[in-house]
Amino acid sequence: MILDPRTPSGPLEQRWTKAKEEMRLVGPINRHKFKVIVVGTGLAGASVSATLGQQGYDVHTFTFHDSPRRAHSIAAQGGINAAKNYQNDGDSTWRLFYDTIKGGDYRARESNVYRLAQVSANIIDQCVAQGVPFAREYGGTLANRTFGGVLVSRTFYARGQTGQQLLLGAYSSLMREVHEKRVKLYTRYEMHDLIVKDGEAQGIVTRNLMTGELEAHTAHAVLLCTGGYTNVYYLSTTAMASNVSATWRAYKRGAFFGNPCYVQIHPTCIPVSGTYQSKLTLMSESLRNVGRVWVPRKAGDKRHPNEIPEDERIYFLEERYPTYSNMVPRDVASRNCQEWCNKGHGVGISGESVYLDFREAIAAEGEPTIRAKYGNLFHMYHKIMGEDPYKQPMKIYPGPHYVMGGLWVDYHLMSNVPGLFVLGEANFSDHGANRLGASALMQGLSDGYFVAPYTVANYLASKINTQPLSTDDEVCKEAIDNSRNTIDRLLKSKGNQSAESFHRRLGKILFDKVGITRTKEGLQEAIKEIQELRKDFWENVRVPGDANYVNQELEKAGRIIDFIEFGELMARDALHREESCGGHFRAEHETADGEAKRDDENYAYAAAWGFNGIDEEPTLNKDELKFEFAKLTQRSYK
Amino acid sequence: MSKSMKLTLHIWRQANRHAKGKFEVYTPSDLTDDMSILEMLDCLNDQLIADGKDPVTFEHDCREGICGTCGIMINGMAHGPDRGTTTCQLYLRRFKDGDTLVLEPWRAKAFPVIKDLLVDRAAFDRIQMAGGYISVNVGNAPEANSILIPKEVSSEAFEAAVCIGCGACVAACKNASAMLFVSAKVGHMSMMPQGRPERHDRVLNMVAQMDEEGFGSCTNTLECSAACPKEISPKWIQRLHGEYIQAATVTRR
Amino acid sequence: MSWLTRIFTSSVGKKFLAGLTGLGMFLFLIAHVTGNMTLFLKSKVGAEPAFNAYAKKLHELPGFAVGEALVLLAFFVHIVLVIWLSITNRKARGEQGYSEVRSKQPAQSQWALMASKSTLYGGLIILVFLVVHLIDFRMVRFMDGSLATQARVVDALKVPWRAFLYSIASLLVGWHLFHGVQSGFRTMGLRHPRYLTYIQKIGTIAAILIGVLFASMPVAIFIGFIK
Repeated sequence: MILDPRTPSGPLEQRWTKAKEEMRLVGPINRHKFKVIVVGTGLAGASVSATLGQQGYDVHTFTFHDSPRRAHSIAAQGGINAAKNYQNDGDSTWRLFYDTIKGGDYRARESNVYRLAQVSANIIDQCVAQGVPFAREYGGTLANRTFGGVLVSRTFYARGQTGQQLLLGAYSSLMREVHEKRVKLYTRYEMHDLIVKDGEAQGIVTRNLMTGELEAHTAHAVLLCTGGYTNVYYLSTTAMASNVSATWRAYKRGAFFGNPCYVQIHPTCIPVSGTYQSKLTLMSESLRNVGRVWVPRKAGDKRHPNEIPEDERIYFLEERYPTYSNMVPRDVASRNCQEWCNKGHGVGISGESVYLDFREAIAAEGEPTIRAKYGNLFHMYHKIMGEDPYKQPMKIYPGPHYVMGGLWVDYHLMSNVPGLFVLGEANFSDHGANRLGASALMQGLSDGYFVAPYTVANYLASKINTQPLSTDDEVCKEAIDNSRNTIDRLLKSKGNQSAESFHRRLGKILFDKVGITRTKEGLQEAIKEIQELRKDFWENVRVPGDANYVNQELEKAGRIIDFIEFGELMARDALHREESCGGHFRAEHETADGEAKRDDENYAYAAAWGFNGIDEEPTLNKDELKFEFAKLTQRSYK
Repeated sequence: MSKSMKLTLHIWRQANRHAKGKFEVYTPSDLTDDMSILEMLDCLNDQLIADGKDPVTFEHDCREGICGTCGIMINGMAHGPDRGTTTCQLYLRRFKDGDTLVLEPWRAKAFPVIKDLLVDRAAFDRIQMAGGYISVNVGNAPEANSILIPKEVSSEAFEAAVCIGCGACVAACKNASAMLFVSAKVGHMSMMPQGRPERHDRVLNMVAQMDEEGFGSCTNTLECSAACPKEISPKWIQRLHGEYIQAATVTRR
Repeated sequence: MSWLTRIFTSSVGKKFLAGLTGLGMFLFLIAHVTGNMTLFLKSKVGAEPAFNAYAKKLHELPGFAVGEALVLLAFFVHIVLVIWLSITNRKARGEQGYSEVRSKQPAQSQWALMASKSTLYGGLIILVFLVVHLIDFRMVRFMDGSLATQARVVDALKVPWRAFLYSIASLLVGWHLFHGVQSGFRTMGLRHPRYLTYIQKIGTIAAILIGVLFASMPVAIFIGFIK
């Protein structure tokens, strides 16, 4: 099936304006009659809840955390892009659009990306007005820095804690609406299923994590803001509870999953050291502004990094990409790091890391300056590794960090199931096959503050004079029963292995075979291994306790089985895409000098997979990408 | 290289809010010095599950010290012995082979224990709700650079804004006072020019909510700041006092 | 809610008033100890001791009664508020306390920490002492209208248990001020690190001076230095 993305036509810069003008509105006196469910309280969820609340809709917001402020947006470090051109260095809306399209290796929709670039400036205004303490110059104006894949300074930041500050801003706006009783907040509620009736999304099933109670909540529209699925790799930079369950269960109810194989493996993570290690910690990309990446020229050189003289080091990114050097996009940097480690130049105990060196920056700018800009990152590194990065280079290695894939949505951020909107990282829309640094925060807030409030209103306008579905409806009962059956099945399993042990095994399969570099054989093996793992899970997992009170193992097991099912779809998508683009690198498809080789003739589309049953092959639907403005070229950062 | 370790763990086990809890002693195998405290609990839980026992419930999420979800009283110290550290950032290499670790939940009337080491910190959200925001609707915002903010003002406000809401200040305070948390919020927002219009109502309402939740009051013992993983200065509490008295005496309401 | 009830019922307001009254009494103690130092002045044989003259002058000051009433009120407000706050603070921990508590403050702050933790108990002991002290030297005026004279002070403090109680209580007052003065200034909202350092230093010196000087009197009387 060919999907209709409902993108407007006409000149690129007028599309969003035109679309907004054509959208239907809901009058202020009618808004309280419309009930909207928001799942998730990260940047996208908190911002859209606050905005719809301010406008007067009856908003019901759910989070499985104890507080909306815990959402994983909080961990974003480096910054947020905006085409303000405060630095007068040639930035513009067009250039942010172009950089994003090119950075995404021409696998994103032009209209979406241009809209993102357009509203980026408003985001900064909004956040500043909320009191976000962005970094500033001595004159009192906002400061900027550079991020990977671009040649301008357009990234706004709050030391290495930009995500935290933006989320606290959105959270405070949300809490104001909760206080004003315009948003009803449900904490420690996990979404278990999507309620679909007459082909429209009309509610969700939740489990109260405190009491175990399963409830149906119905509404005129459901907004999923549930983040990405990077945690499918087990060892990733995302939080332990980050999951795919909300989007996966929506997929099982008919929503299409877009580009699940597009994963961003971030080059600068603290490498794996412990046997029981539970996660990877990211060192912000902004460190590549001042740090230089290198490995010893001689393979297997075991000397202390400070003892390796300058001419025996190879600054491989600077050599290969003179224009962008250490600031190449993440996918490019990760692949190069892995290549040098595979060639035996890797450092550290496992030989799976490269150096990120700040010696020159510290000498040039002085330790206090570096400390002021990156102090918290250096501190984090020191804590985890027990080594002082002011005195010796950091060791870094690529780790799964972000996913560009997600539920398929049209220009209105609505999935193929009417009434189901998907915002932020949970959707597939704006980053193509690779996301540039400091663009995730931009997209989450753009969707939540400036896009969804219009498009959701447009949808609701067509629902005037309708009531939300009764929670006694048969479909609600069926959905609750469905969730209860899964829970019962998990609790009845008679094995003796923890759910987490299966997650670790899944992560290993995916990182090895659906990771930085993928091959046809590897992907075929992965599919088979994941299917076996799923079988093994149901036979050997043990979930202690019952479903009537707090049961963290039960919560975890439910998310992990979704990951296992989903991992197979990832591998299938990667297998079908016979090209290399952005974060999806197929060893069979590379240019003569080892860069990703796209196949625009056959694969210039977003793959939107439809569910046919857990043991059935999914259906591939295509969202054809047209490039009318950005010329399709081989991406080059040389 | 990682070294294996033996530790004796005294862990508070409590079935639910109303149950009477008690300490249980565990000596998990396979511990290594490069594990964090939370990874140690993962390891213990794996073993408890394999033995058919109930795993220890504890809250955690980002495991990099920013989400504020984790928090355990370790040997009588909130987030353990190191300063500027969350529980997830505390590694076993900090302890000696053979040590005994006592793990207890945060204890405060306003933070009731839900299960084992998991406590309910919703009181913080309610305090935030009472006034911890700047009332600006989407679409209202002026151009970002139209209000200049001196670098030092913005940086100082940032130092308060880094609060992760973990509750260590409450846990460590002899009075279970939430003053460091509240003062960090009040301080951040009252320093920023955008937050000044509502500063009086904000401080009065947030303090009123704090009192209602049953937190204690500040006696300037400064233990909160020592326990704070973000090392937020006690000066914010003093600033709050100033703000409060000003607000209480000059406010029109 | 009126603004005054809000101040008296909120934790921060109570704390502020406790701090304000505390600092007021700190000023009173400075005056009290300075005046009492006249005990150490040698007077000519046969002439009236300097202390007696000072006492007389002091009581003849215009508005003395008002000042005395204010001090009494400050004591009362301070004590009531602090006890009220302490009860709330006790409850705030909840029913189940910690099995073990350790400080994360640096070693040099441990004295301050102890001072802070013992403020309430110290304060309660001082309260008991105050009752004795007022009976000793203030009640007589209600009974026969006479002022405390050096002779009476010496007579009273020659008694071993009084000498002991007075010197210990004086040191306790110093210990109380060691925490109280800097805490009071913090509660007033003083926060600039530049001034806070001075306040801490001055507070510490003043606390030691006041404690030692008050204690020096009973000791000097007991050993017969002051006759």
